[in-house]
Amino acid sequence: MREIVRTLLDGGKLSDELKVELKKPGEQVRVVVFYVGKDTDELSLNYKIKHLAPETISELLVYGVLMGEAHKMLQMEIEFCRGATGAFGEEKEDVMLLSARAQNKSLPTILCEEESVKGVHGASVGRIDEQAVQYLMSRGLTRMNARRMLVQAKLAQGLSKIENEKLQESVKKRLETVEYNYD
Amino acid sequence: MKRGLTKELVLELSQRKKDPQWMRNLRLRALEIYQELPLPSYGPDLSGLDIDNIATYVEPKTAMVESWEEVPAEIRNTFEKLGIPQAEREGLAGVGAQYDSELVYHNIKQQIAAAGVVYLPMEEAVKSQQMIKVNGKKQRIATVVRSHFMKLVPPADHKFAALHAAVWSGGSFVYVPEKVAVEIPLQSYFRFNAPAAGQFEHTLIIVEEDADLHFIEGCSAPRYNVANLHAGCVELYVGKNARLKYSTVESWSKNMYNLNTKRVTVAAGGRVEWVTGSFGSCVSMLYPMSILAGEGARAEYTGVTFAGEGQTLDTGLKIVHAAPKTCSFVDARSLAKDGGSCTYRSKVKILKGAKGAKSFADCKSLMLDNKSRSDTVPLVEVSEPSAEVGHEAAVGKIGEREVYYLMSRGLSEIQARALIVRGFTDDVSKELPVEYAMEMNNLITMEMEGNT
Repeated sequence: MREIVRTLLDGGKLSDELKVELKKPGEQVRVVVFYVGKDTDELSLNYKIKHLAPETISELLVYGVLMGEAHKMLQMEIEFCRGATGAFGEEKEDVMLLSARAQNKSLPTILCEEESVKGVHGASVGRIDEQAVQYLMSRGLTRMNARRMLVQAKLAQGLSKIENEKLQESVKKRLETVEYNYD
Repeated sequence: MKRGLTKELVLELSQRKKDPQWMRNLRLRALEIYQELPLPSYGPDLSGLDIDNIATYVEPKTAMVESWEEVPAEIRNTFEKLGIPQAEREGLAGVGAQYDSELVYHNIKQQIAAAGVVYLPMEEAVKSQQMIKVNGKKQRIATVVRSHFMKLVPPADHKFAALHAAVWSGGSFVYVPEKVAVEIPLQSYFRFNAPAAGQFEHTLIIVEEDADLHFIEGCSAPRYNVANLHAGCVELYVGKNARLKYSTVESWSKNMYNLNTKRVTVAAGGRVEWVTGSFGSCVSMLYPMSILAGEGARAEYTGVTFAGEGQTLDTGLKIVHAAPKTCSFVDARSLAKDGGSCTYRSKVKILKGAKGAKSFADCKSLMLDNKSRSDTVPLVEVSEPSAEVGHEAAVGKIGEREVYYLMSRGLSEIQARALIVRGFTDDVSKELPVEYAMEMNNLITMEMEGNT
């Protein structure tokens, strides 16, 4: 499957856009995005996948962490055009909010004008599980390291979705360099 | 009555209703706001709506009556077809029926009145000197109305809120005192019956602390060639630990523009349950909004929208979590067939400080053929890290295997599909009293089998 991976770890005022059109029957694409927002970062993400042909398959998976006063807006769109019979599209977002001043906006959209398709989307916004932190601390980790471990585990979910091993490895290395500061 | 929306028309309307000065001022100010505001920049095309050509008020043929028998035959027949007499007989508590913008029939059963429950036509409530206790203070109903009317939905909120405030007519005022549980659902039935008439009824409901009410709003209208507009407004106040269930089944005729505004504010520990079945209108823009203002407040929304031929139904909801430990659950289902277009449009907003808030939404869309559209546009805004928010949606079609199985059991293909669709909408129909559930199922069957 064609894989497109984006790692948006540098912050700042960042805008990322991707449009994919699946025009050939049976065409498939997987888009995996990792982002980290901190301080006063502003992230504006816009990903659109358009199914134009039958039996096309798409996966759009977005994993992120927001700290400090970061603001993020994610618009994900799956569009099933007439004629895309038997198509399947999935969009999923998983966000972790680490600070009280961060702001998260998500707009997971599905547009559909073809009857025999299957589209699913899910978005979930959460925080670090305090009980898990306590458990890891009881095992000897500092609070800082326990939290870091849980944040990385969340992002690692996305890693496991990447089929290409070299790609997976390089993303993993990049994620490990991120500093997670908490408020 | 002159057509067209002018200051003179609003003044004439206000004088005819013998509005107090504050209401007259509100109407005039709202008219100005209406003229300034643009049409919404999203959603269905509203260009087919010609407000100036819509008479805002049509004289009813009768004055208000106390008992069903006194209602004129022609009007009674219309309501007979919609099943109101049965509902009355079966003990549903007071019925306010609207005929062309005026309440013609209003009846409060003694047991409800004895408990201190107030159910008045809105025009009467504006002037009523009866004393009730709201938020611990004894006040006249007229004073309560003045301090609540168009406060939850201010006229400047959007163009059709302003229009409503300028030309509102008819509707209900309901007050449930502290600790009173109204066992029978209160219902109000609307009916359009004149060409180019606008429906602008106002509903104001106050449910005091620890009280409990189920209010049903159901409407129906025949087919006409001229654009019909429904721009009503519903303002609901749910007190501490109180519960309000607000059910609506609407099957407005297919030339209607349904641009109703509904909003509720829920105090600490309170709960609002929205149950909605939207089947009618040619264009709908309906987003009931829940403000969870007190700690532990809760909102539940169960809805089904069915867009058939020529219909563009843009429905959804808004929920604002403005306090800790608030929670919201959404189960929204939509169907589209015969070229209909259905959009689910929502906004769930969790404000900073709403610690431990939880929100979960599940939207399912069923495409019934290859000519229709179903779009899902859910916005989630979270500014509180301890909040947990989940949103799931799915779009698909009826499984062929399920259809085949039912056909093997003797149903025709149409019957099989209708049965599956009724199953899909079951979550809504089981929340409604039997009368409404049956009407809803009939509406679905009619849609599926192609009769109207």
